[in-house]
Amino acid sequence: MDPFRQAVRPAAVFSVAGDVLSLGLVQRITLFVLLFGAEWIPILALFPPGTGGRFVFRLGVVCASLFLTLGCASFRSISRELEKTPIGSGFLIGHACAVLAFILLSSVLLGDTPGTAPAYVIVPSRYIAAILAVGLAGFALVPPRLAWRVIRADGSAWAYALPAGLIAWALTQLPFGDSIWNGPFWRPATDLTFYMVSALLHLFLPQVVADRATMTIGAPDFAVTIGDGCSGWEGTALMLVFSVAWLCVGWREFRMPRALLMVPVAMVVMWTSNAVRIAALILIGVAGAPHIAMNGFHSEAGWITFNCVALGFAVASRRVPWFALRTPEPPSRRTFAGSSTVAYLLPFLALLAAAMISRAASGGFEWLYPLRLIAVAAVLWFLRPNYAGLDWRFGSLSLILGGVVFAIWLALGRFLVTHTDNGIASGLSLWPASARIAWLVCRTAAAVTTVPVAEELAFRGFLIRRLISGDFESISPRKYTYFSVLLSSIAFGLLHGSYWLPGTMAGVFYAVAFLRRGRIGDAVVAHATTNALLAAWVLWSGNWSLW
Amino acid sequence: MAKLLSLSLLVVGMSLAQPVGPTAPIPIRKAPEIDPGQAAGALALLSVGILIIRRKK
Repeated sequence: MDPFRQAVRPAAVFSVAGDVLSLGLVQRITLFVLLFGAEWIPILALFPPGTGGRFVFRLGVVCASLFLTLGCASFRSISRELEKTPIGSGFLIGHACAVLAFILLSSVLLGDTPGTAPAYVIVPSRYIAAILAVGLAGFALVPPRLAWRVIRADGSAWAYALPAGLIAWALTQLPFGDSIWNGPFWRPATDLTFYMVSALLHLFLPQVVADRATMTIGAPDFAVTIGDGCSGWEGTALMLVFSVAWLCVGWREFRMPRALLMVPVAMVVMWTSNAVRIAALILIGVAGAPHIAMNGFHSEAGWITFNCVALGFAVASRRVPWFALRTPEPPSRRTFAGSSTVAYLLPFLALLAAAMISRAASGGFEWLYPLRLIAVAAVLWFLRPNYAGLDWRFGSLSLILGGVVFAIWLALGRFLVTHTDNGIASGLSLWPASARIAWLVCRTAAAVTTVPVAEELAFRGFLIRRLISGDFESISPRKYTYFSVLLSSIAFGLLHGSYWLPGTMAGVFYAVAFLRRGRIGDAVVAHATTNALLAAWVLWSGNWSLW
Repeated sequence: MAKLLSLSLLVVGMSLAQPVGPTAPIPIRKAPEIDPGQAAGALALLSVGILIIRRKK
């Protein structure tokens, strides 16, 4: 039976494709961003940097941010109306024409053989075409009548927000602003981080080398230079984005305006934790592992810190009665383990967390990879009663689909992906044979067992249905929308870094395996088949970059 | 208050849209220094954590 016949049939009409899709505000903004992402890449490739090619994309990002922000106030009512509104094919055609006009005008302006029209006509026309491209794409997804309602949903907030945003943008564009933004303005921040790291190191090291002029700090045998990028502004800026977005999403759950105090608190914690991260990096280097300090730890510790602070902020904001209107009961071990959301997602969370820790502890070769196997296996064992009710049976088609994905992975990887040395060959060559075999067994076992189970539970078992309804358990495992399959597959693909395209295609194939009979076993076996064939290929060919 | 939040987010959105530069202060614009796979993994972990924290069942 064709699995796509089981698709959910909501009320709205997707007129362009002639099919039926239900698209709310978030889905439409996602489509808007994807559309501009797809157009931006070829446009950037066409024109040299600094010639205004990024203008259209920037404008698209700003418009999407504006709509997402202002749309929060009347999200539900707007979304409900949008679900009944077809995508405006006329506006979409107009958008395509405007993009083409922009490219043609850019070619005339920047090409080797300039046209006869004067620049004072071409330049403004080019910018008008860009603005039209953004506007028409926006109106195709959100009709002008509803767009005006989104803008007016928060009264005249847009009238304050737009000039403020434009000023902020200008500060990053003008030569004067750029010198403020990137120059000496941030020096005091770097100084503060420098002194905090110095104070922390004095707690552990008998002799600390600290040169304020060059921002070099450490011990006599291992020291680092704190660059502008390490001053802590990066993580603090991300924390600002996260904390404000978190408060927006749960607006009615918090005591306003006092809950806003959490934003600077979170930023200060993030700032301080950056100094702790740099101090820890130096201590790891001093302890005799400079490769780990400068490679794995340097690149991963920032993300680990950000995740810890952000998730800690999210939990604390709901638990502290002074900030939260209703504080939920702390979950007992029994209620936590009995939650279906936890059962579907915690193995994947454990996989991601173990991967970050494992990479942070590596100096090129990920020697701690078995941690991924152990962490996921432990979570699956802890939650095992939840999985008894799932359908783990599988059919032969799953094996075939897994094999097809393997072939696609190899073929696309060969042509589209630049292979880099992941250090496995050189790392293993330094180990004794027994340790080498044990690592390879763990690596293969994780690829064939725990990784497919954790990822299929999260992406196919949970995400496809969660994108249809917040109450995902009320949705049959055989039901889906094209949007839910596509978005869950793209999310799955993006997790695979440079293999994002074969990863996305793999996501679609595993979704077909899952949706055909609504059995998680089919998706897991298809995924495990791919990984088993890939492992066999790697071990046979010695092409370690595929791992 | 909603105005303040709208304004903050817009300012951030505008700032994120700044050009890629070697010393740009907002991290996700410093593409050459960030491994996209790493960033995707970190954001996936954050998303999964949030889904668990805000779970209804």
